[in-house]
Amino acid sequence: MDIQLHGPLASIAEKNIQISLSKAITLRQLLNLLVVRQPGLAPYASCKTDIDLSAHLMVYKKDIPLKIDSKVENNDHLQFFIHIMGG
Amino acid sequence: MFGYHGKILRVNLSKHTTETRNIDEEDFRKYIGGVGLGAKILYEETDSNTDPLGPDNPLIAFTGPFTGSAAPSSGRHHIVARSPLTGIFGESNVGGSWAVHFKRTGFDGIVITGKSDSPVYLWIHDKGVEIRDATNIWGQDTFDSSDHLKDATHKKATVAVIGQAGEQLAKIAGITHIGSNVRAAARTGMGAVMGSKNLKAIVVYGTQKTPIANPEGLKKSFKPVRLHLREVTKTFSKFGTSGGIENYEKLGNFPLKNWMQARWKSVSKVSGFTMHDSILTGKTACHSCAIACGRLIKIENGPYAPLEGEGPEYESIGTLGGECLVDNLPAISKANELCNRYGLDTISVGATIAFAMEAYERGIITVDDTDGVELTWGNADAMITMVHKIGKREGIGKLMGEGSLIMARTIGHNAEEFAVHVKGLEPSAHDPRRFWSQGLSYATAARGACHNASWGHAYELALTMPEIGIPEPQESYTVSGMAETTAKLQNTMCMQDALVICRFTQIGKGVDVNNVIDWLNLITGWDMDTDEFLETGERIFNLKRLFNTRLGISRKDDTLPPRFTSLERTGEGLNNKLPPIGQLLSDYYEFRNWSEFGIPNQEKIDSLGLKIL
Ligand code: SF4
Repeated sequence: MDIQLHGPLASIAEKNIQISLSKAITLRQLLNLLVVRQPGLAPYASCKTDIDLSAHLMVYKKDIPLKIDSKVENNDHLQFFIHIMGG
Repeated sequence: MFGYHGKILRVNLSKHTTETRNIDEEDFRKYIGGVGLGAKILYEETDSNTDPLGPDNPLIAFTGPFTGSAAPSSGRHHIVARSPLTGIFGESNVGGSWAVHFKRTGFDGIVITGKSDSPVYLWIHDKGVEIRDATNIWGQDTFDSSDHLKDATHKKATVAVIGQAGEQLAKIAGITHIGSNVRAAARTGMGAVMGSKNLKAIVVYGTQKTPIANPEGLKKSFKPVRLHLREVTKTFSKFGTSGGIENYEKLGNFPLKNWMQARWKSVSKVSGFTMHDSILTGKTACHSCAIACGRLIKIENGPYAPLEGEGPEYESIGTLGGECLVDNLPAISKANELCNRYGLDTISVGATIAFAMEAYERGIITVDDTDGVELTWGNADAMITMVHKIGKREGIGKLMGEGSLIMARTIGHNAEEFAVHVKGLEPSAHDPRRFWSQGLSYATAARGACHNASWGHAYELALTMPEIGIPEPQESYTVSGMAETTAKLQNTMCMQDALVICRFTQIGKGVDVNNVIDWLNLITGWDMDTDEFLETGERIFNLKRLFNTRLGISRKDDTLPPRFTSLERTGEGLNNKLPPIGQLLSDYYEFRNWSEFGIPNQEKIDSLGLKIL
């Protein structure tokens, strides 16, 4: 899996992260994996629900925002953006 | 009575008189405060002949039961009057510290009528109300005026003040509020209403507490919510509202080139992240707010230096930056500061400049009209020059100060086709082609294209409100459920503006409807339940609608500009579709029990207890 981080996320961790997955997992599980690997992401990625996620992050697969229970798999290319709601 | 003083201050500037009037608890329970009571008074005291810039148009500012109570993010108030920009219901919600200081003078609201024969300001304090001469500060900008007024009154006072734009009746003039931070009641031309009364400022400072029914219970109830709110808003607090720019551009929600363009390589240059890493020096907060979304910036070098103070918010960057394709953050910050100084609405100013840039590109206006300024896309200096011209009402700035609709009608050549507004109000920086609920709300909100009337974009993306019957986020690009979700959100937002509490407490569901009802009951001693809460929000929304229908507003006006209904943007990874506004409107009217022409049915009016109006 190829993960591209945007904005400040790219300076907290590597801009491109490669992760090998043996089976499909949920976005929630992927975020947990990432936080272990890149602890700097914890303030943004420690999300348990879609509402938590919406307060910090938006993750895209093929330009579609993912839900926390969306499945991701090894050949996916994901983009991570910090999300600020409102304005 | 708890949660209120039960009193409003009435000022007649023609007669230079002031008077205190009582308000019954029954009226508070029915309309709460903020926009609710403001709308009721405005409805009762005006008719279809009231000139928005005439002495009979009351300028009303109302606090709510939360004001001064330590409820999170409740240092806000709501200002209403008939709008000179749109001709219909005008309203603007503003944070800062004015509301709290005003309420501490012993009043819940203020109603100002008449016109002074010379410039004056109001000084409202614990011992009374004074109408003072303002001749010496008339013509000064809001910052200089505020310094002067604080020296003349109390150093801790908060000042609601107009700049040169409001004095000269620019229809996109707002009221700048200067206390512990700078906040603007920007929208719908409330600054021009104030200017039309020869009223330069309302200065407030008080120390009187409002009685609370159950202070211990309230304290206990706030504690866990405040901790949760702080946790879920930490990213928002770190980067501010403009931290959303890059992702909103990715989503196709960020306005570019007068809403023509979908993708912008320069977007990161104007984002909250760049601000954070370059010019940010600190944060500011409205009274009782732990989120602190305000930005403090300092620019020491370059053509826009020196500049120190409040930085631009998401909406201001969206309009002064994105819509004009200006990718220079210091220039946008300068324009933002000038808008605060002149007392101008950054949204309408940015949008009107973007409209003028398109008119220039199409050859409808030329350098002969702009005093030699090349009004080309991305021209930062031209954008700033236009802000000066609008603020001073000079040259083409005089026309631009009337807003994009009047400007379009004046310059002709079918320019109305690309004037992006609803009912005369330019939209904020959220694209209804990405969020249809936003579009439906732009079309039906009382003041025109108002993003705050529903906050629909957030409820399409992730938020839910099972408390009011929105158990799941609304699916984007779907007609089913869109009208119902939008209407329910509009009713709930009316309650936020009546109580008065900040929209941003919704982030991550930091504060939910149950919290709010709990606090309202603990403050007032009432026993309001969810049904009554929702009915009250619906009553306020319908009251604003009735104000507008009395002025002839109907389905013909509940629409979106051609840019949103006929221009499909293209761009890499862009996923957006034109909103089917007619179909959405029909569903919406049906859900609201309004006629097919958008008029509330008598049965609905009666059931909401609005018959007496
Ligand atoms: S979140 Fe921002 S706008 Fe809202 S009350 Fe707090 S500081 Fe003011």
